[in-house]
Amino acid sequence: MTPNPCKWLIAAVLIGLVSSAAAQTNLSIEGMGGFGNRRLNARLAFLQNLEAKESASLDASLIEDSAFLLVEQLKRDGHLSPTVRAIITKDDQIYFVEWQVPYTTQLEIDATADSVLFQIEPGVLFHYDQIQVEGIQQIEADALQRYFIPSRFLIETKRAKIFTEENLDRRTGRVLRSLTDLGFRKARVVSRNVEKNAVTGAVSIQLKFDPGPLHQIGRVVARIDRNGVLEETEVDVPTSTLLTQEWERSLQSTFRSDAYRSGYPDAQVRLQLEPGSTSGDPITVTNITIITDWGVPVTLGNVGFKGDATTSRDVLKRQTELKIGGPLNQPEVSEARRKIMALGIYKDVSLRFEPQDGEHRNVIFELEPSTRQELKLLAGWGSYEQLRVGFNWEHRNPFGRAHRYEIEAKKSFKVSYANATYSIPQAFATPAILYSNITYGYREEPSFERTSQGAAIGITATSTNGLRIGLEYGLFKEQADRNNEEAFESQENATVGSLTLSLNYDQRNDLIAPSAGWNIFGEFKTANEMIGSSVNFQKLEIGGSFHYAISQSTRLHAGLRGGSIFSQNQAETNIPFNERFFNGGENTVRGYREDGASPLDAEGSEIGAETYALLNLEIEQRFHSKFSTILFLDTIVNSRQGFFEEVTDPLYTLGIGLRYQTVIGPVRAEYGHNLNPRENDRAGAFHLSIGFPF
Amino acid sequence: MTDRTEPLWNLTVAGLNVPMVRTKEMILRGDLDVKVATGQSSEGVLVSGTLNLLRSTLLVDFNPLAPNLAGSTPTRPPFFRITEAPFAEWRFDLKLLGDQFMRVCSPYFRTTLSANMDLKGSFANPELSGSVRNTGGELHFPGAKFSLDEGEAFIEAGRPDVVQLDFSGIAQKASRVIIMEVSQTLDDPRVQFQATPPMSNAAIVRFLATGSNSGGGLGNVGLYLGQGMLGSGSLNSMVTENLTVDIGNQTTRSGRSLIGARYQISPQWAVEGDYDVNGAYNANLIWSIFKR
Repeated sequence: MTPNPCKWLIAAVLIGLVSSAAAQTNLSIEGMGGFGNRRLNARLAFLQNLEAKESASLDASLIEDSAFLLVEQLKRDGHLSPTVRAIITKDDQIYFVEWQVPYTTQLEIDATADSVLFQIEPGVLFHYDQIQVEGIQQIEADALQRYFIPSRFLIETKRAKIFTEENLDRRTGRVLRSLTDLGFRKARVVSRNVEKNAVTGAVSIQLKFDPGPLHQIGRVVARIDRNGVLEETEVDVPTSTLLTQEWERSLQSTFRSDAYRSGYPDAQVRLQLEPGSTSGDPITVTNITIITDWGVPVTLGNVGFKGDATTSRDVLKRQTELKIGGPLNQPEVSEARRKIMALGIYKDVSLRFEPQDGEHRNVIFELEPSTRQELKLLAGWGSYEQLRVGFNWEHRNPFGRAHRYEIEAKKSFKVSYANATYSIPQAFATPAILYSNITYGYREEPSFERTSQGAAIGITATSTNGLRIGLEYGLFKEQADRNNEEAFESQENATVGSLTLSLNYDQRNDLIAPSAGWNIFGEFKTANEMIGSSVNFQKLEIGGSFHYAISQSTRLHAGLRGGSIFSQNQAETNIPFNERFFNGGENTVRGYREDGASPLDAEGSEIGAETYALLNLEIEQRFHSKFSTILFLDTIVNSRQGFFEEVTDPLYTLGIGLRYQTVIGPVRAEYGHNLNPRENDRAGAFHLSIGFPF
Repeated sequence: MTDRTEPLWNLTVAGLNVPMVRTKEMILRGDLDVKVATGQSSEGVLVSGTLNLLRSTLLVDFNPLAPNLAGSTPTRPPFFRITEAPFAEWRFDLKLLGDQFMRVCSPYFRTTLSANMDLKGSFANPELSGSVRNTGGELHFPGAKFSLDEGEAFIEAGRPDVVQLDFSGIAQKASRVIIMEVSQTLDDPRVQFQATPPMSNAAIVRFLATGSNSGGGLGNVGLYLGQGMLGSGSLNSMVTENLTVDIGNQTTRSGRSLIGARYQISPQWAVEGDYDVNGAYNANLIWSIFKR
């Protein structure tokens, strides 16, 4: 079993934090349970602008408003008929006052109190029980249901289906929005019947919609007033194009953008819609005139920066790339603001024009610096390292160049680590990050001790479509300390000078808990004497994952990856032991402990693979909005030497697990059973971990 | 006196911390110092003076990713009108002032508002003009937290029935910077996002909803819009205000993206959890002993 006390530490601290959010000492709430009381108390404190841990001045208006806010908050949480009772203490006298829906009770106008305890009886929790939607054929019935009850799981609590008049309005609005997006811009609700069971809280709803006619675009004409010269041109639009709000916005944005980029920041664009020819009863055709008034041309007077005198103006100007005296291009000015922010040294960068109108305007960026220097001490627990302590020093904007350097050191029972990194964000006025670092690392692996020390320089960038690319040159001293060197011969002390190219392309819908999409990654590393290496080898590792929703609550997850190290020279002396592939554990082959699924030497020690292929398959069944069960199969094929030249028997693990979704990924409890364990392998392993495995 | 059919009168209404409006969305309070008086001429009754707004609250469900389309027509300025006699002919000369008087709380953002408005005209045809400004604040999405700049909602004398909007916010996460601009009118707001490095609108929406730098499909966005991850006043909203989840540019040895979560307990203390390059996860208590 892999111990994981860190999550309990986090949970304990979070509980403490929420507890500490309790508000004023003379205004308190009970009746909603520990968390519920604190939540309402904190909310009341914010809305009333009351200081935590300080006594509030309790007059009639504050007490009445507090009761009102509590009633409204409970209604928003689905308790549509709550009772809020106040126990008011004044000069050792106790008074009772009660509020219900509708809110009518009023205190004496000059009433004051020393303290107030609000006792809450939330009453019945109203929830969606049955939804009947008529009149819509354009959206599938199941999908329509999900507009009102977003998820369908095996176990659904009432709390996951809370009903309020407001959320019914919002959800009905989303159906209408979807219909307008499909071209039915006159869609409306014809009738609505809401039946509430005051005893059980079950709410049955019947809704009848009328989508109205389908709206299509007819003739589109652009009428542009540029410096008093009127132009009129026809805009080509494919026939049968739907008239949607998104289309309208996109059209306006295109014409506005043209004017902005030409130096007309005051341009106004509006659409004039007129009925066109009707091509059939259910279809309405609309002709559109785009009326654009470019206004007056504006030139950029000057670019100024206000605040943060410590940062070089040259560095900031390099980011802006604005041409003084040229047309005032508003999108470029906005881009400049974002680039300055991307330097990572500002809490906020705001923008204003001086004067706000006129033919010549200066651009002023107001800079609010973020923390520039910080020293942090840390103490914690790692799933592998166990108890760890360390420090981190970060200096942003040294020498006023918007660079950054960071020095950190950590020490645990199994790891010693020190690193100094100097990085340049927005290098060459691009989104790329240029960095160099010096690292020392010692790590006690399950079957050997790994030491690595050296330096690297590299650059990383992410393209517009999400492709992440990195290129790094590293020169490292790699050492491995093993117990059974005789049983397996390998290079254990090498200087590795290498170039590494890495690519990562992610199309998953969520990196933390993916349910659809795919990703691929690859890394190629080449070490050669020509670039300072004492060994020659190439290492390639590629992989990816695929996620597919089989049904509303069932997901298929698949991960496939593989890697190989090869050398034109003798492998035993050219492939460092540290570079070999070690698999096994909670994220790879779950019937084994960490590194346990790698090839073994004659003594039974793990020696890693020169080539491997790993397949992970999972079926995830969500039975609650937060919980799901997993059935998984992990398979690995290893080769001790060469490209599948000395292949070991495949290892299979079949297992089950339980997952709980959190904002930082699923908390996982999983057991993997080894279907074909080797002679000294365990029957299986239990893992308690956090995060999606692949 | 003999020339008048109505008596001359002059009434002063004053009060401190007076509750003026209490609806399900708003509690409005203020100090009143108002005179209600008949004029010397035939102009009728004039309501003049100052309302100093204070300690007010606005609960709203504003979500720029999913505007409410319930079909109701938005209320337009001046928001009220009294046509019954004898009040219809009464005139206003009121100043509405409030320095950071209203705290706004929604599932998605928090801010504080200041007001400087004039109310003129008559009860039958009131004329409201001036502006309500926000002084900073935060707008929360699951994937990013926007720092709101100073902005305003204003009514110009030339367009008395339109509330115009001018707000912007900026968010940075990893190497991405996104600007949100809200413009045009309250009836038809234009919410525009722009990103550096450039991202499509769909990618920006996905980034805001999930925190992912890339990714395909909008499944989670739909889920987010449907459920409202930061439910009004929920425990989640309390936690997420102080929680930052970063999906890093590096990957682990097994190709997973590095993910770090940080919960800020106080300016000095935080809890951090992360997956490291070895695929292990760590939890640290962080003490910031020097910061400037």
